[in-house]
Amino acid sequence: MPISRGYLVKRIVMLFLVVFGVLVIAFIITRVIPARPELLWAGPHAKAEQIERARQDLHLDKPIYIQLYYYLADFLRGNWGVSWRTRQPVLLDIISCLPATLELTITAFLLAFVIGVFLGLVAAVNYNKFIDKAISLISTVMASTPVFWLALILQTVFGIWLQVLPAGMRVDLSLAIKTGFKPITNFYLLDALLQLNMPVFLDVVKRMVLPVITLMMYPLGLTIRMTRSLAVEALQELYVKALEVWGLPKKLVLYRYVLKNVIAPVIASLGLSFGYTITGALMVELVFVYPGIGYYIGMALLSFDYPAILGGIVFVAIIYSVANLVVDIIHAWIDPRVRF
Amino acid sequence: MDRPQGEILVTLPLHDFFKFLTRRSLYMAGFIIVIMFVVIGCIAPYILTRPEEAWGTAYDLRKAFQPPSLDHPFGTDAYGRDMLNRVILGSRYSLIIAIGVVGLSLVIGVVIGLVAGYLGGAIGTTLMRLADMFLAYPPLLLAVALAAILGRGVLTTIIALAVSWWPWYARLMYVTVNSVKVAPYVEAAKAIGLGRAAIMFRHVLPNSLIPVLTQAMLDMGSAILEAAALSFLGVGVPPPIPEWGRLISEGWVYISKAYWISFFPGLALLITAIGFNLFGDAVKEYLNPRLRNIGGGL
Amino acid sequence: MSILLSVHNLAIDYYTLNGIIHAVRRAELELCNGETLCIVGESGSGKSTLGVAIALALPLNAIVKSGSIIYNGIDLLKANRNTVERIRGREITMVFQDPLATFSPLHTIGEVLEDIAISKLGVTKREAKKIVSEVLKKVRMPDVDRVLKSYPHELSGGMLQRVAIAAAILTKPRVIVADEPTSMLDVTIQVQILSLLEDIVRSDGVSLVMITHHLGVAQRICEKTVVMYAGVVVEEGSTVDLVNTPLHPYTKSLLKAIPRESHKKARVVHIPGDPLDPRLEVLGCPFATRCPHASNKCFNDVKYIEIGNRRVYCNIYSR
Repeated sequence: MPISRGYLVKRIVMLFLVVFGVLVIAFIITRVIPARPELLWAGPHAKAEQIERARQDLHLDKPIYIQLYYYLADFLRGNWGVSWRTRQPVLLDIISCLPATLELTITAFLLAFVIGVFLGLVAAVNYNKFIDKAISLISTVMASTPVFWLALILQTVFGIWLQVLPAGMRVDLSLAIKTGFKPITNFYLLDALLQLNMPVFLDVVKRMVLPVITLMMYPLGLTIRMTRSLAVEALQELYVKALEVWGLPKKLVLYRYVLKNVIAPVIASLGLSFGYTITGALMVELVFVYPGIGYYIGMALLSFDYPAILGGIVFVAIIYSVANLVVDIIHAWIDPRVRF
Repeated sequence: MDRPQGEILVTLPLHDFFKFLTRRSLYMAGFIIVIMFVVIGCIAPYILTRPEEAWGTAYDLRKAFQPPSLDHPFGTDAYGRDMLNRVILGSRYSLIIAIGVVGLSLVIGVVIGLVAGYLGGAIGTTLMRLADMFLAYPPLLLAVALAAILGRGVLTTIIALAVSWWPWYARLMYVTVNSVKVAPYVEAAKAIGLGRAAIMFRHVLPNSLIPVLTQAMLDMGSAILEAAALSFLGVGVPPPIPEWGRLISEGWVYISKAYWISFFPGLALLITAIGFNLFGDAVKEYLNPRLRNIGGGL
Repeated sequence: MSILLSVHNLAIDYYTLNGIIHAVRRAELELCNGETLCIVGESGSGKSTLGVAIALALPLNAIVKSGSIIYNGIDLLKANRNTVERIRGREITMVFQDPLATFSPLHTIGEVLEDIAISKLGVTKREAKKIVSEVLKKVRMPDVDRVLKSYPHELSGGMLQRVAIAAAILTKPRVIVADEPTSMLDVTIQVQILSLLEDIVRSDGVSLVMITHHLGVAQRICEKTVVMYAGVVVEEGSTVDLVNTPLHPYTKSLLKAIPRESHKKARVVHIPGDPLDPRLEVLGCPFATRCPHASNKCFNDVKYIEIGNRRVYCNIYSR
């Protein structure tokens, strides 16, 4: 089952090519398409000299391939522009927002995966019976729900009307100060555990409940539907019948053989599922005022802060590409037919 | 015994499909929702009871924030405009955008995929690498970036979404064409002496289109949701166009006091998306012969 | 020769979303100890369903409308779950037509074979590895160690079919049902697999039920042949007798339809008419619509007539 080193090397090289592609597309969007890119860069309230300086910085008087070179060089050096809203370098902003988003998306994503595969299998094994129809219908509804609308509803019902779960922010600041909570890694869950600070830990968890539930609806629905249809097809395969004929017990056949054959393609689609989770985070964080990258990009959109918008999106695209690479490697590890 | 691979009939047996639908109530419900959506979307301007309020040109602040009632089944918004009318008119924009997005990205994707698949070799790989570059962006984010730069508007929304969607169809087309072009009937066409272009258009294209078209039909629901998301974020359609996503964002500020402004457009989105999903499932199951004979696995 | 397994008055329906399909309308056969029996028929004759029923592997949407399969005095179709699990895979087992599809693509050959050994023979993992290696050597598999570590897509069709046979004989069964085991293989490999099966039958005293559409295969390897048409067993008898003096009109037409080079006139004689729709209810003989000797009685009243050690489903022979 081992994967050859050549395969890994090839995939990592492809990752760099992909990131290059991402930057080229971003370049085309920000420099080639707009009529006056320096206006976007400088911000809506810029004065004449600032606009002129932006022209110089962007090397707009030089040919396109030179501009591209400077664009790429800037990105690699960490100069992603300055957000006119926060007046900070964009890259700095993004990195400080990152842990919050990762905590949220990874939690929602893992939950969606585990619950999704389980329910999908349950539905497939009970094909056409009541439980299958119920799961199918619920998963279809989940996969059709507009995430931003759901976020609004849940926040209003549970956060404002019923006041059951707090809406907004990652942690209650006064509680944090009172209990001496210090964010070290900025992954609040981890930090709270490491400092054995249970009140803060519980508070963080409470504030994550609504956003995570909202965020995982769509991927959960998709995963259930996908797992179910894959499992239904897998159960029709000849090898399932062969294993039954050779007398293997049903449970063994299901959990050892069918499961592996179903999980392989599900994992292949996990990358895309993660992509939907990240995109959903954009809207969920905005609605719940959860200070992550999604909130950052959302606010940038509302205030026409172009360096922040593009910087955030490019960064998320890079994370997405890395996630896809990881998923592809795991898939190749499980399914030996895919390794080329 | 397996039948030898044959050409797919391009004329689908619609009558049989309808019988298939009537036997399954869920799929029928999905079909009805889709039909209703399309019909309402088309005739919307003619069935509005308060057209000026729907278009946003008239408003009456005295009637603002009225909860749902017999007079205003969906309530009124911040400017006293009837929400039912606005939602009905909004369906038209969702329909237009969905058709525009799917249509435009289909055209681009099919052409690129067909050329890449049929010509193969270096051209094919390069074109697919190009598609992969676009797919490196998470779904929707590329459209957000592009829409932010292009500005608001129905056309720019369509373009932004189509630019992020075409790679899907290109890839699907590429894979399908690759398997079709080695099918026996294509070999037969070559043996008769048909030219490359003729083979491409008369044999490869029609038979490759079916999976792509079914996928496109399914995708209409997603297109509506994504366009709504763009409008919600403020980079989709401009006010006062009552696109559902826009309506939801307009009601965002008042959500705790006047929930209906955001609730009903979202409900419309939900129901329409459910309809397309169910209908898409119906089509997929109908076209998949293996699924028809199932009685159970283990 | 003692009778090991007998099928009596069997009828099996499939319930599908396209309607009810009568796969097996009427089946009778007897399998003796150590005998090789061929079930011959065209596609759609129900021979695969009959074989699958004997191997206790009918899918959930198959309903046994009537009849019995008696094995060792037990009616397999009415047996309780424990009995069925005891017999299935251990005393009656099966080899399938598509060797590649028979195996899970993500598991090595060794994993599958060891699982069978462990769960059906109750041995430990180490003993299982030994048993598995031995059985692979028995099916004349070259490079046993490499094969055990291989995935199905890394092996050729012929090798995979050998593995499938190994999986079948692992538990030292008494009946092997082989569903067209060679039709997806190259001709040279076909011969090897058939002779392998022959050797196993001879050395282990296993009874073989071979399902095939190829009369040549039946002639080569089977002592007894059963002919099926449209879900009905129309004739049963020793292969030699059946080929030399066919009784049922369908069997006669089948033999005449085989193109032979010895004939001066190279004309292929085909059977007039169309195959029967499997959704139709048929009371009498299904071949009646195409039979030159059919009478009105043939459409709704036909019985099995026994002539010597042969059996035929035809009114011509009734007194």
